[in-house]
Amino acid sequence: MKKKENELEKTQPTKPTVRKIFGTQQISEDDALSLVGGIVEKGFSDNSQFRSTGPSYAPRPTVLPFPVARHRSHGPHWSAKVGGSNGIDDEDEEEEQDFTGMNMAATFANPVQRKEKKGLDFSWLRETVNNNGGSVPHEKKRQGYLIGSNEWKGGKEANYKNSDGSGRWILTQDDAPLTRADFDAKEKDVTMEDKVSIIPEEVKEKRQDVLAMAIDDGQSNFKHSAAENFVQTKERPRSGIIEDREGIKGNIEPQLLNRPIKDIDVDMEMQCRPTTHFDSSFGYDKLVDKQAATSLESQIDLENRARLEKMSSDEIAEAQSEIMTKMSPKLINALRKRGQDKLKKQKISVSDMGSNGSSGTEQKEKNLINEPAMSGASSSSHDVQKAASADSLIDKDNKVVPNLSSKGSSLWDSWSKRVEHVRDLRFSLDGDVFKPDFAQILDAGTKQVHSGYSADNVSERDFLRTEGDPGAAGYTVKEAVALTRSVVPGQRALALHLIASILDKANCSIYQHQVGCNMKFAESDESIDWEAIWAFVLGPEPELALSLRISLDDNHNSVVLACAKAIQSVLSCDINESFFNISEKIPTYSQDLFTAPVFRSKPDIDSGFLRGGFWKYNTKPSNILRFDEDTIDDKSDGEHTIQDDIVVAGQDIAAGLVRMGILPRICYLLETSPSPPLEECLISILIAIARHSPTCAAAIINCDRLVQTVANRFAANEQIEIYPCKIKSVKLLKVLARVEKKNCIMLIKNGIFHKVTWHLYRYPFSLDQWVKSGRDVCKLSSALLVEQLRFCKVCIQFGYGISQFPDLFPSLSIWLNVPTFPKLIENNVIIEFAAITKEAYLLLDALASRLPNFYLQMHQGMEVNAEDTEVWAWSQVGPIIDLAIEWTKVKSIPYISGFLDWDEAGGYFILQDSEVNCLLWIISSVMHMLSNVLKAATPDDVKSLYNGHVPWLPEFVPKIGLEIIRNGFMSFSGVNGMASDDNTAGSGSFLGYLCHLRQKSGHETSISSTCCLHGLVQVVASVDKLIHLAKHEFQNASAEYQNFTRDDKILAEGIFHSSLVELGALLSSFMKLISNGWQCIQSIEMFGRGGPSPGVGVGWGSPGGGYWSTTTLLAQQDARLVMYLLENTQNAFAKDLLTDEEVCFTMQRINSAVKACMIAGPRDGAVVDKLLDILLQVPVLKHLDFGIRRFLSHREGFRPFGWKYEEEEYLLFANVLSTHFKNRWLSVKNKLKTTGNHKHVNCKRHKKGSLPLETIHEDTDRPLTVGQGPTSLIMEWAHQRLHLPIHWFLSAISTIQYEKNIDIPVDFVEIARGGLFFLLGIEAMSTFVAVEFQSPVNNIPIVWKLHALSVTLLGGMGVLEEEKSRDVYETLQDVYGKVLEKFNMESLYFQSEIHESYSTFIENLVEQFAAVSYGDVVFARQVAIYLHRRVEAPVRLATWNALSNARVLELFPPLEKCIAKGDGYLEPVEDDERILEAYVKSWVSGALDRAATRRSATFTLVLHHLSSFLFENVCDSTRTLRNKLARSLLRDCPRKEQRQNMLMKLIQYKKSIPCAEPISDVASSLQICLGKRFQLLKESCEGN
Amino acid sequence: MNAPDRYERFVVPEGVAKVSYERDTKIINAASFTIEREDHTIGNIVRMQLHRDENVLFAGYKLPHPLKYKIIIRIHTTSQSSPMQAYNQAINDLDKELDHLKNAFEAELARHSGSQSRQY
Repeated sequence: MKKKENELEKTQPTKPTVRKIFGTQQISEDDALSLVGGIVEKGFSDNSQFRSTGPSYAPRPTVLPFPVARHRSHGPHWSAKVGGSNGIDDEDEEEEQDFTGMNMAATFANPVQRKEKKGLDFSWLRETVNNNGGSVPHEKKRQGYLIGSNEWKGGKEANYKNSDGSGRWILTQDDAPLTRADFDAKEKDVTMEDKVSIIPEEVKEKRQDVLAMAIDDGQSNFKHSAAENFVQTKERPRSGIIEDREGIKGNIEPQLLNRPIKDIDVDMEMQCRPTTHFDSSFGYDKLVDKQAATSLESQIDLENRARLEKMSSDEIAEAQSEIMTKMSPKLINALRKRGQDKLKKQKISVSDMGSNGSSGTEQKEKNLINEPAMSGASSSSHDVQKAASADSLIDKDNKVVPNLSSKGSSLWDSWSKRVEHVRDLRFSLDGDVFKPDFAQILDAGTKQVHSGYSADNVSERDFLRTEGDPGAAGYTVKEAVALTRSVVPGQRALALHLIASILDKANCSIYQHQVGCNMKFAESDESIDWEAIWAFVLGPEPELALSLRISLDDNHNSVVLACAKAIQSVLSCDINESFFNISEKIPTYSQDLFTAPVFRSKPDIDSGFLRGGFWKYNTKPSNILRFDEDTIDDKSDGEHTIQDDIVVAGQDIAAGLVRMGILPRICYLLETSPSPPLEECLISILIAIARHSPTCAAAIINCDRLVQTVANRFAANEQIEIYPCKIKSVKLLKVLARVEKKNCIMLIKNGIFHKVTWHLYRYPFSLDQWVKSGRDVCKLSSALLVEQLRFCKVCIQFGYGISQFPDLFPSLSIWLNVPTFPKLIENNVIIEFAAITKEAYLLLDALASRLPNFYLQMHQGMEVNAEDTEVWAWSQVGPIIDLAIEWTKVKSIPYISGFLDWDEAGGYFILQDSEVNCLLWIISSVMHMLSNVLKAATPDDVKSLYNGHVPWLPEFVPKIGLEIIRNGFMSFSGVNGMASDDNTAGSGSFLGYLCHLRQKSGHETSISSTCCLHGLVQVVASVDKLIHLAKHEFQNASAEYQNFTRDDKILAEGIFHSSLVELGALLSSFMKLISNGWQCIQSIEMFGRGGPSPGVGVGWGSPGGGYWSTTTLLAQQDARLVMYLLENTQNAFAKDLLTDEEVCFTMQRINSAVKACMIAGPRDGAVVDKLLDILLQVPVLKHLDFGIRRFLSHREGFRPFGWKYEEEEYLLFANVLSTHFKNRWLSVKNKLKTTGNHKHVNCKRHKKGSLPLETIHEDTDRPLTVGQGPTSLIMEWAHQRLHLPIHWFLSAISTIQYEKNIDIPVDFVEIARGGLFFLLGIEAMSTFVAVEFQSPVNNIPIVWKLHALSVTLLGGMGVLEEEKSRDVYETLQDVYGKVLEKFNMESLYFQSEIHESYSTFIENLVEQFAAVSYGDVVFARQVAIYLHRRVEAPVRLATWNALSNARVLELFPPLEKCIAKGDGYLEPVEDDERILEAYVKSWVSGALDRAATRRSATFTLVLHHLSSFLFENVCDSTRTLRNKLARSLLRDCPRKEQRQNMLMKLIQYKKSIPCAEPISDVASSLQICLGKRFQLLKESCEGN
Repeated sequence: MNAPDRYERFVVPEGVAKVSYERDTKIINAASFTIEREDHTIGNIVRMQLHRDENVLFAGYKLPHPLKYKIIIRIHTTSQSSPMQAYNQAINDLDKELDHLKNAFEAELARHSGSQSRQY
């Protein structure tokens, strides 16, 4: 780099000349330049040295303009040094000077550059995707690129060939080196780290090489006379352009110039790369016209250097004059046009360049330097050495490259490209992206030279909008960030506003996307890639966190406010809040989620490399809190630099901000009584931080005075008036209380709780008063009351404040009543009212779950609980139930009663969505409350009851039941003999309506209707259960039974039972919904780190909000309902023999249970648990078995098993599998290890705090049972495994040893047997299910399935030793073999798909095979699959080598018996040198001897591939290898008779399949063939 | 720290046979031999010798665990032979071969040193 600097400066003196050369158009460049250069920002020294040489030079920094945090890698020292070392202007000495300077510089340059690169690099993100260990892949890639460049050139030549004159050839030649240079650039990207150190020497060498190369290759490469020029003048191709242009400018037509490039059919990437250069060279011409000064300067400079270094002064003068005279405007136009075409595609390469160095200019120069050298090098290594026609090899290499870069990493590449692309985007002040119009394109073109500014050298640049063109509109992200450190407060505020609006825009747009539509982002220009923008802004490169933190310390209020707003957007407060708001409305969720970004731990071999490890925080929790310790400890101060903070912030921006001490600052700001907007912002920031992670929440609690200050500010203005920030304060306190029980106690004891909830206890004013107070007041007070009620709810969930309920009740009761709707509607406050009511019922819901068991209490009297928590008393429940029942009379509630008149045909009157929605929420919370009460009224232990019946039924039970029946919640159309149309005539039921709403409405209404349904079903089930328990009374009075009304009869028979048909319909419609849902959810997790972007965005920046979207929430809600319905309709499984339809239906049920498992999120542990219980029970397994049998008997090529599973076996499988799956996927990682000397008390406490989270795995939906409250109401993503990965059920067979710390001895063989059976069952099932219910098992890549089968064997042979599981195993192999044959295009990427060290796994597997298998056929088949031609080469090679070394090549069955057809192993013919060599090696070493006698598949493989390689594809490119192989085969042969036979076989080998010709023909042709072959062998031995 | 003692590697504990034979119940003419206190040195050479035997269909060995100082050799033979026979034969052959090697080496050494002493 430094060297580049050198050169850059050295060429300065020549500048004036050049300007003369190119300044064809009387430009007053000087004016422009002086204009730009003339603006001197404060803090920049006006370096006279540079000024004198050229005013255009950007000022050199001596002082940093703003107290920017400095790291030793920052700062101007290096540029200063360089500046000092080269004062030499002598052109003749230049070259030598360069080299020495370069070498000197190299020693300095390395560390600096490397450090810098680290900052810019995104690669830390991809850890899990691809841990790029060795340099081998790099090497590979580079080769690939070089070859690619050759090819490209080749293509180009071909294109030119048919066009006429020799003139065009010149262009070809020009282009080819250019492309090479581009590939160099790319290659540099790849190997950047090593490169930095290498480059200088390389450059030097290459310089010298140029001569030789150019001469060597002159004939082969450059056939035109221009090449002679090239050689003679020792000139760069670049200058060659100029000269060539002179020669040809006469006859080149613009169209022709344009055409070839478009024609060239190379792939996109390749096409993109060349463009950079075109645009630099042609854009340059343009620039001359446009007088774009700043970039011009470097362009010229670049040209300069390239030319002048090799030209004598005479030549210069000559060229000058020639160009001046000969360049026609027409040509310029043509060139420009072409440049523009290319510019549109050039962005990628631009960003590449930018990322490479601190300045694009330098990068560019480097390219130029390497360019001729590299072209020489590449031609020497490939063209010369391998002769002209090395096509096949090159092809192969090219193919290898994409193979090596795994799917994951190619995904990654495209993603990082997208992110890099953002670098160039310019934003207007309101956050919009400026569409690059023509002028913009030009800017982009010029900018690429300049765009590489980082925080280091931003000061070298002129201020404000100065990336290249002062005329460009808008700012790039980095400009904006840099501008936050401006000396002018206004600019800082402006920049912060800009950043905030960009982030807001990004956030909104991301949120609007479709969940799961990841990565399909076409590089189309019309849509803006907001995800990438989000990722880039938050990413490590712009160092946004640091700037924000600094700005928060600003002493200008406007800047602080702007900064707070920006931080608010960074933490995406608003959108996250709206998510949490909805999530809190859902009665079934008592827990929130922490928002801290997490990623999955890497899969390891013990778990069979299966994905879906424990989540881990992006930032270690211990890294978040640093300042506490360090302020005490002076020593450690030195160790921590701001760089560490930046690293943390790069991983997780919220954590970074906390680490940088944002909390004390916020506390201080709050204490200084800020303006209301600022206060609001600050509190939202605090909320976001409190939601971030336990550690951050603890940091807030522990921050001195912070909580107290918030509370004081709430109480300070005691007026009745409500400010938004008050609402937020309550919310903050609520969130803090939720985090930990301890906090909640603390808040209550401090009196803060009472201070902030006093509104609740206020005089019970009437509803009229409330309504009259005006809409705005209603709104605010509603919001406040909701928050306060939620706060109360939290306390109650922890078991506090229940005794205060009697005080609370009077004021609550006005909300609990069904209001007089007209008044509310009139004043338009129905939504506000409903919000409070809903929340009040949710509070009651929480209370109800604190009820002691009704019967328990009755028998034993009041029992004082040992805990300090309180329980609710039944005595208070009565009136509340009455109130709630009022709400269930839906017919009397306007709006809702309208639903009942709804019918399918439409025509129900349409309400505003939001109003329906809020009423639905009320009903859903009422329902849940009732169901909780009913649950408490249900005796725990049925058997202990007298007669198995309850002695008496609380009267509210039948009451609720009757209300439900009467109000048409269900239609009961299936009730026998009943006139179903007495009062529900012509109408659907409420249930049907909800179902309809779920399918047709927006997200929130869908969620609320799903919740409603869930609540309804729960209530119905509970009522039924209770009535069933009390039924004997009815039975006794059978005489009366006849006289019952319809409603009573229904009640007696069970509501559930009466409406089975309806519920069935409900279930199937939700099963459909689920099958859309799960793919959505599964597609969210694309990268290892939870989502594409770091930070705490919505869903961590994944489109549509990812996991944090209502879509996800809805899907999870659906899954819950499905789970509940499945659970309650289980008896369908009980039946034994089935018709086709029934089979189909049960399969669907199983299927949807599997899918529902995959939807469940981190909060749904209980759901998954239940689902597993449902899935893994004996009847279901029987159905699976039934399915398998049908499958086997109906499919071709499979034979049914000759045995049957016994009842005990089903039981065993069910037990083993369910314990396995639960342990594997639902276990919570316990961090019991105390973290060393860590003094963080709260940290530790937190780790302990995560233990009781296991309570969620209890069987109840609501973990809150009396006496054992959880210590936290917020779930962590970290330390657990949900969401399940798509292949979760493979875990049973591919687990070797999953938990070291689980003491229970687990019989893995049993698990594996069960798993195999289950897998085959699901596979078989998937064939019966209708297409729209696509089974998840079909979506698992075949690689994973094959891999899982192998892993089973790694653990031991147990599976194969047992007859039944052996058969199942073999069947699975056959099934997958069929799949392989069917999709014979896709390759099996074991290495890139599953694990990068897959070869090690293979070696272990082969070792196992060699040691204990006794040559088992099934095992051998499994191993042989790795020799399949579609397996990627490294894995195949590793397999072969391992087999050969272990001498087990003979243990394979004949090829026909392997998995899938033999053709797959033989075709296409092997072309990987290493594998062919390995074949010969094992031939020679004798490892194949026995394989030959036993006709094992391996020998056939070798025969086929070797003979086709040696005898059939005879071409020169492979001659050396062929000769080598043939020689070693022949040399080996005389020693042993056995080998001679083998050789004979090899020579006579002919693939047996196409044998249709008459035998005599075959024989004769064989004779000829043999003759040829012998001849060939003779040749290859060269007479030896 | 809690690694087994060094001597564990070569001292066969009392009451334990150096070599134990266990017939495989599932496959005819197959058996596994457990050789105590040996490792790849013996395992590999025996296996390769077994591979030379025409009647041996499968011969493999494994070291179950790096800290369990024993190897298990599995042999599967044709009906013409038996694992025990194949194993014995392999051992005997190896014995002879090594003897031969030793003798040849000693003879050569003697010749060499003789010629050397003659020289001086």
